[in-house]
Amino acid sequence: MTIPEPDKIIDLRGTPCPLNWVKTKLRLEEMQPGQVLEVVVDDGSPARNVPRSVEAEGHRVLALTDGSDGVHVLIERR
Amino acid sequence: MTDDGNHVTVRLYGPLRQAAGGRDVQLEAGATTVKDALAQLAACKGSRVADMIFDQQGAVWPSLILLVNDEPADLREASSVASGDVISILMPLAGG
Amino acid sequence: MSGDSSPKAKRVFTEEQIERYSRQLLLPEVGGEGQRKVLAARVLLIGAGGLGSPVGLYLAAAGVGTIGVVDSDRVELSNLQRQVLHATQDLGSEKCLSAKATMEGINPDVRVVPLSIRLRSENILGIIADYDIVVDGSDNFPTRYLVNDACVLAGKPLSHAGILRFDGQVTTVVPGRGPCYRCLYPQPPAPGMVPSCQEAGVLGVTAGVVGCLQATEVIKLILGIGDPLVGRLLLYDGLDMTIRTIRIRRDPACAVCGDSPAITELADYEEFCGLRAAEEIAS
Repeated sequence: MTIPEPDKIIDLRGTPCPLNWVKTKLRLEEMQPGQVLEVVVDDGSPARNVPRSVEAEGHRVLALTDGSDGVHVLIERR
Repeated sequence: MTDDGNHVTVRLYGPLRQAAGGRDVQLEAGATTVKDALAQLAACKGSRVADMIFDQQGAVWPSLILLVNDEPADLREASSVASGDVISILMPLAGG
Repeated sequence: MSGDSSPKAKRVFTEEQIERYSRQLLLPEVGGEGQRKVLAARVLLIGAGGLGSPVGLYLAAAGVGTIGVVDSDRVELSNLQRQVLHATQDLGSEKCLSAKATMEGINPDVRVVPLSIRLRSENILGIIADYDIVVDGSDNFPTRYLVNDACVLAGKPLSHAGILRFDGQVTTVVPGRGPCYRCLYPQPPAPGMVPSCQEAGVLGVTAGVVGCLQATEVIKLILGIGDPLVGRLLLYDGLDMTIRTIRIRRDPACAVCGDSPAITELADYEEFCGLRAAEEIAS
C-alpha cells in the first residue's frame, strides 16, 4: 500500500491526553471522508491513546511512524 | 389457600400516598371497573383520600392520571380491571 | 466569547474552550458540531429556585450561550436547603442576579439575562420569543399552566417538572410532536388538594435529581440526540428509589393543543383557576 500524502498536518507535541485526541477529533470533523490527517504526538501515552481513540471513533489509522521528532499518526477520515 | 377473590391493587403517588398511609392498597372486595376500585379506595381510606379522588358531585377529578398497569385508563372510570391488575393514581406536583 | 455567530462562519474554539469542554467534545454525540449548537443555544429558566438551580448550574457548565433567568424573588434562608445557585452571602439579593453571578462564575462563555419580573399573560409571549427552549422551574400551578399554554401557542419546546417531598415528575413538551401539560392534567387541582413544598416539605436533593433530569433533557433537545421525554412522564420516587416512565398521549380534545383548542389566548390564573379554566372551555 502506498502511504498517501496528508491533506493536513497538526503538531500536537506537548499536548497532553485527552486534549491531543480532542483536537484531532475536531480537525477530523472539519474534513471530508477520505481525506488524510497527520498528527504528530509525543511518545508514550499519546502515541498509544490517540490511535486507539481514532479507531474507536470509526476512522482508520493508515500508518504509525516513530520519528526522531515524535510519533506521526496518519489517519484516514471516514 | 384458594384464591377466590378479585385482587386489585391501587398504587398511589404523591399526596395521595401520604393521605392513605402507604403506597399500595390491596382492595379486598372485587372490583371490575376503575370506578369501582376508586370508590372502594375512598370508602376504606377515609374522607381525606376520598376528597382527593372525587369532587362534590361524586365525579372523579379530571386532573388525576389513572393507569391500569401501564396503560392510561382510556375511559377512565369505566375501564375494566381484572384480578392482578395494578391501578396507578397520579396527581400533578407543583413544587419547584 | 469568541467566534462569529453568523450561520455561515463556523465558530473557532479557543484553546481554553477546547480544554473546558473537552469532556463533552469527546462524546460522539457532541463533538465540535454539538458544542457549537450548545454555545449558540438560548434557554429560558422560569424560576431560579429548587429546580432552576441544578438546571442553571449544568447548562452553564455545558456552555449554553444565553440563559435567561426569570425570578422576581429575593434569596431567603429557607431557600438555601435546596436552591444551590445561591449561598448564604446572597441572602436578600435578587435571585436572578445571584443566579447570574454563580452561573457566569462557572463559565464566562455564558451570558445570563436576569429577568426580575412576574410572568403574566401580557408579557410571557414577548419574553419567551427570544429563546429556543423554556424550562419550567416554577412552584405554583397558575404559572405552570400559563407557561405551558404560552409554549404551545408559541411552538416552544418546554421542559416540565414538579416535585414534592421525595418525589418528582418530569416530561418534555414539544408542541406539535406530542402531548402538552394540559393533555396530562387538563385542569389544576382544587386549591388545597396538592400541598406545596412549604406545606408538605421537600428533600433538598429531590430538586437536584429532578432538575438534573430536566437539564439532561434540555441538552438533548439542543443537540438533537437521544430520546427526550416527549409523550412520556417520568416518575421519580426517592424513597423507593425507583424511576418509572409512563406513556402519555396527546389529547385531541386538549383545551390548548387539541384539534379544536378552546384556549387561543392566554389568561392569568389564580389559585381558583380550576373554575376559570372550566369557564374558558365552556365559552
